Amino acid sequence: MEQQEDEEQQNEQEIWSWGAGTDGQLATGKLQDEHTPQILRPLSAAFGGPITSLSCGGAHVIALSPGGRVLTWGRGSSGQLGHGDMINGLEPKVVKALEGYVIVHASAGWNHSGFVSDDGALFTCGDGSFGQLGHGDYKSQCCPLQVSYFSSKPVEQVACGMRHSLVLLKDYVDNQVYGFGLGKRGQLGISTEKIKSTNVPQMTVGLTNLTVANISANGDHSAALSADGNLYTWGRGFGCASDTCTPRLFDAALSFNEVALGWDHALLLTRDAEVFMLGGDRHGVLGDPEKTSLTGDTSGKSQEGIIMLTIPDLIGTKVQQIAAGAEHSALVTGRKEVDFVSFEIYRCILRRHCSKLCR
Amino acid sequence: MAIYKNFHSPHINLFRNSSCLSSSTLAPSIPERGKERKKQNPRFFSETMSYDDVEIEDMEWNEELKAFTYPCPCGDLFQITKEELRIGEEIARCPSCSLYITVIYNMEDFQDNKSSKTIEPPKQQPVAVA
Repeated sequence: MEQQEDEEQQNEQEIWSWGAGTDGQLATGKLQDEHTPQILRPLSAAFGGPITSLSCGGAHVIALSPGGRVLTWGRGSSGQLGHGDMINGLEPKVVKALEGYVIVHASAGWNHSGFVSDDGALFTCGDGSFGQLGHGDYKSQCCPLQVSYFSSKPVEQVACGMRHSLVLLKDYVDNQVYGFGLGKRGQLGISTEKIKSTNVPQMTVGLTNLTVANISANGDHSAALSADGNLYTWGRGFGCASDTCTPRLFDAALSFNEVALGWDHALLLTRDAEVFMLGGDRHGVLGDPEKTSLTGDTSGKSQEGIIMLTIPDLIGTKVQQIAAGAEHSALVTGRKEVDFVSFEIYRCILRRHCSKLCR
Repeated sequence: MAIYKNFHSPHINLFRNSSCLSSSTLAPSIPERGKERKKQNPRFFSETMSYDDVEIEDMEWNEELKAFTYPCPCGDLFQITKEELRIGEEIARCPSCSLYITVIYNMEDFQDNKSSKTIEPPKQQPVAVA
């Protein structure tokens, strides 16, 4: 019976995409932007099952199946699709080089990609100009290549930002987070001084005596969430805040479940299903275009230039999931809808592409 | 970057951010050359302000575009050519949207009598096709 339900769910899975599409990242088969969500052809035929996760990068997408297969599409100019070439992919295509591995986690950065297998191996491909692939050089790779540094250290998660990567190790109590790639804004968290770049993974400083549950990277930002709900951030400061070179505890009397980083804002989902935001108020906050100003409720606390905003339209609304693009955000609420939070760029369309998975 | 897992929303029935304007209608005019760079808070901008200040050494030389580039939040690239830098242009634009950045550089580095080698960031390495 349960199996039957699963099959029905598989058949019902819908994937929608919208936003910038000129690199094929919307999987619509066209090289054009879409202002409204487009339903995509089911990927299950090519994939042998439903998609369990989507990760959207600068202009490419990585999708995973429950069996650990990997599909990629979109911009491939740096090899980030992992198909052995450097061309854009308009249609989702299985990454053949990862067949034989069960990929359980993936992250798409600006122009690079990271994949983690069920046995803890890390693979990277794409732009390596800043050392963000972790192979000890500055070369780009167009096929996923295992990062040998972690061959004896099983990896749990990878997070790819604009020009840097973070790695979370499995089963370590201390020193579980590593960084590599560009570090000019402190986003590697590996030294109290700013480091230009490293192409070999290095341990972050200060994440000791705690269990890290999740890591995030986007733009020049980095973040880690501890198992007990504490948020640590490093890298470029949000809003007017200065850069931070090592992980710093975000001092709030709140317990966080999820963090979603943009290029100048972060969404924080608390265990009480409330959303807070760091930075990002310069384009206006949420929904109603009439209210795109700084009139948001600023009753949140301010510390060292960081303003914590509560999002006015969401007071009292239970939020289930959060996501952030460079300059925009999306929330899934209990109201069975995706709320699109308008951090608008010049009232222009949300050019950063989005892909959404619906059941 | 953002990872979306196991979405359980049956419908996307709301897409609020429908207002859009073409990039051409919003493209700000090029500030007068030689005009002193705005020293306003670079992280806050309006329609007439730069998205960010970026040092030339943080931009990448793109051989195909023959321009220095930097990622734009829209997914495309901010671009500025050597010729533009040589004549003192400090605005790098994105061809796909209305955003632009202010490039921080020393104009003398791009004058004809200087070698460009010293200011070019390392090029991307060629990729071996497996």
